[in-house]
Amino acid sequence: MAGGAETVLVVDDSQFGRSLLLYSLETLGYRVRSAADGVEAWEILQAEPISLVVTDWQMPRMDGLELCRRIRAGLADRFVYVVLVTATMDDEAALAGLEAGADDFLHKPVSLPKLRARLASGRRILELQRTVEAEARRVAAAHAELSAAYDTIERDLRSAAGLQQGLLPAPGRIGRLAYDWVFEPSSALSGDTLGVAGLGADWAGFFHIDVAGHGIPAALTSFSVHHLLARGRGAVPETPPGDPAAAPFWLNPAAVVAELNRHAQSSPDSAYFTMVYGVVHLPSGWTALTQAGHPAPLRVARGGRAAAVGGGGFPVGLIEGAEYEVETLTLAPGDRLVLHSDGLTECFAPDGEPFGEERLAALLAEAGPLPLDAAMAAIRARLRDWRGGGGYDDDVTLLALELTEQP
Amino acid sequence: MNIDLTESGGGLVLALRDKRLDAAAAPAFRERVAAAAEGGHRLLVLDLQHVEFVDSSGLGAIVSALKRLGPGRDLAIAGARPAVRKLFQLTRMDRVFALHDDVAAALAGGAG
Repeated sequence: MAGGAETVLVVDDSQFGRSLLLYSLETLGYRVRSAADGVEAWEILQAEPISLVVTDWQMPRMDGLELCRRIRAGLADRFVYVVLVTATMDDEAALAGLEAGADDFLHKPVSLPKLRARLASGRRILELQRTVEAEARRVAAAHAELSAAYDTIERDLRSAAGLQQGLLPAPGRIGRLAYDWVFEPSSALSGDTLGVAGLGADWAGFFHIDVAGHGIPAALTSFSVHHLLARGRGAVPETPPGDPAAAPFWLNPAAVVAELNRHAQSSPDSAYFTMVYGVVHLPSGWTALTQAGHPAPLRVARGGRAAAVGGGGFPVGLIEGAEYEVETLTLAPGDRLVLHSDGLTECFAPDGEPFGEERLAALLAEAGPLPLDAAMAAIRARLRDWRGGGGYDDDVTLLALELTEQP
Repeated sequence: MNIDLTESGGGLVLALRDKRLDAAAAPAFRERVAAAAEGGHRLLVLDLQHVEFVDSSGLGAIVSALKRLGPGRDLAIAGARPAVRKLFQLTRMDRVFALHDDVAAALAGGAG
């Protein structure tokens, strides 16, 4: 039957009227609850999940109009379809009924076909309403799930970014070698990383890495490479400066970079990266470095110009069996060696102009007389000005080393 | 990623119409080039004359295109602007790819 298991609440103060409706509705297959007036009906509606109401207009205590108003104002959890039964039907009565919240009207005497038609229409609307409500609940639940997942990712990224910053060496010095850095990631997680570490008593090693791409995959690769390079600390016998090819592994930049390249080939999904790895002999300032696709390091002589060191090299993880070259130089006291990622020279101003190597060289020369930390602050400020507000498109990072006077 | 494909004398020319080959464009570039490589041409020429900027992701995508071609087939670069040429030199990719001034030279020079 069309009625199914839907329950109709019949509200009428006349015992005869209620019986008539009850009989008709049961004939149509509805389950029926009945109430003698609006007050009783309102109590039932608050206690039971009934969504179809057929109510008389004129009743003592609470009439049909007031019951309509209560339902519209007070039943927020569900939609209730209300059919108002009237003795007369003029425009004024219809308007009053609609304003009170009635959905449809029935005129007395109530015939079975009219009742069936009104309730069938009510059921269609209820069904539609329930579909919409179910969809809204589904959307709300999906949204809640998504925002919970997003919050988790946000939290994880922030804590990973904290771990990543924690890998960076605190600005300071190793023997005569002072160092400081600029590290401005484009998103929370950076594909750049850098490090400086003592290698035995006489040497310091340094590296600066820029993993291709951004975000989580780049950051994971940079974590992993940082970890590989950290193994060299302290594990170096005393060695004088000289031919890097004859030096222990960690003092031979080409060997270290080639080893990283071999390691990267074994994991084909990892991102490739560019880097500079180098070592400084602290007593003499003698320096050897390998430039693997990274922008050329800049040597800034005390009070002088900045000049590029080296001509390039294969990135790491791109070409199997690539061979790497070593560049050597000797830093004089007061000289600085500055490594940067291309995110810095390709930091675009609002008009699309890249910061560029010439500007960086001029800025480093200008900041030459400043102590290292003030020089880094000046670089940060200049780049923020250049960018003109907003975040960076690419990680903007720089590592500066300075050979100080004999300690 | 707008790429025009032209067949010419046994080679396939891929002309990039966009100004940037960067992290945002690289995935679409990879897909387009992989599809173009299905054609089995011995030589693919990447015409970069309109490209002003290639970043590390773009370079990675070009190299993986070369690796995908496998032995006996080659990828040549034509018309690279100075900034792009400089990136190829800095990363020694000028030793991996033949860099030609224009498409005609790339087709004539073959794999270089």
